Amino acid sequence: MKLSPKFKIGIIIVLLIVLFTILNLTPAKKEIKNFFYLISSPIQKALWRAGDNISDFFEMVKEIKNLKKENEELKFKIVGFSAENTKLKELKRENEVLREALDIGLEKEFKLLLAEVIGKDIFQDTILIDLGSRDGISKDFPVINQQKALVGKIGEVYQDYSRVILISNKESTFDAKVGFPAEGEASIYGVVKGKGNLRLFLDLVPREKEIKEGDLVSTSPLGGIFPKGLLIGEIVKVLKSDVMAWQQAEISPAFNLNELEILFVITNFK
Amino acid sequence: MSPHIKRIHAPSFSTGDAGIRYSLGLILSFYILALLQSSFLVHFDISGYVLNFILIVTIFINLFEKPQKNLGIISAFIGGFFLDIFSENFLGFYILILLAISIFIKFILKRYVRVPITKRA
Repeated sequence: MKLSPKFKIGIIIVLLIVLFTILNLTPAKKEIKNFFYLISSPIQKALWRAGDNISDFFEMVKEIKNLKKENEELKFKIVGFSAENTKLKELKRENEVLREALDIGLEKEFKLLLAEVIGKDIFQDTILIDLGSRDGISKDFPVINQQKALVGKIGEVYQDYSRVILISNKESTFDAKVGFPAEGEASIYGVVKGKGNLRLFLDLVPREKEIKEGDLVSTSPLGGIFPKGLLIGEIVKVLKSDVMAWQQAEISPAFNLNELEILFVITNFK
Repeated sequence: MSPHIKRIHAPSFSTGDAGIRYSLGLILSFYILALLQSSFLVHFDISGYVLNFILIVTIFINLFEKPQKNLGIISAFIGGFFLDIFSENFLGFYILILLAISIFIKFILKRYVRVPITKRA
């Protein structure tokens, strides 16, 4: 009997399926695979290492491109974050100053404008602030810090900026009061003069009045230049002599120029 | 067939020493290809796909062999066997797939294709 080719193929396929079914259902499958893995493992290891190394190399080349791009993006982001960080720091500082000012009730006593110091001239005892005539600033407006310490008064006024003449400026002279006398006691008045280079002197204090180191000096209403009660500084040295008609004192200003960043301009005075 | 067109013949399987040589050659070639695929080419996948050289070689042998010869079928069997060995599938999975592909190609070539390359005497 001669079988047709189609029939032969059919029989072969059926036999194959039966064979594979048996192989897969018995441990023979595992034995066969294990045998091939055993004889192939040295070659497989070598091929795997080679493939791994080559793919790593290509991966690295690809990664270099990405890294460059990523690096540029990150640099750009860093610049952005730095700018944002600086802005936030400024806001934080401003916030702290405002809180401090609120704590001592500055806003209740005066009408204030917040100004930022943008320039300092130590030799001339002047500073530049970022408020000008457009903001309502006029000449001679008093300038204080958040601790209610007198810093100076407005000198020149520009459209968007103003120059503040510090109280230590040589041209600065104004009335002051020493200490806080008890009820019934007479106040001690004098004149504060700027000596330049951030130095202040109290002058024209009557000889018979007793002033001492550590006494606080504040503005007096007599001169009408500054509101009363603004802290000027502290007496650090009393200069008293028999030949002098008046006694003098060296005052340490209540503000620190290096820490001056945010100031307040009193706009409702005069 | 035009005398200007050169016949291209893939080696055909036959009995005897030549047949054994071809078979051994095929076994060795497919074994190396399977090793390459499973250990080397897997590192160079394209979107998760690895080139299946055994499948490609099997298809080419079936395309260029005389439809009456059996080398393509034997290639499918050997190639499928090695693919099965180095894969997680059950034994026979790739063998059956490659055999089906080979039989399909042979059937198409025999029945419908009449180009000089496949036209046989």
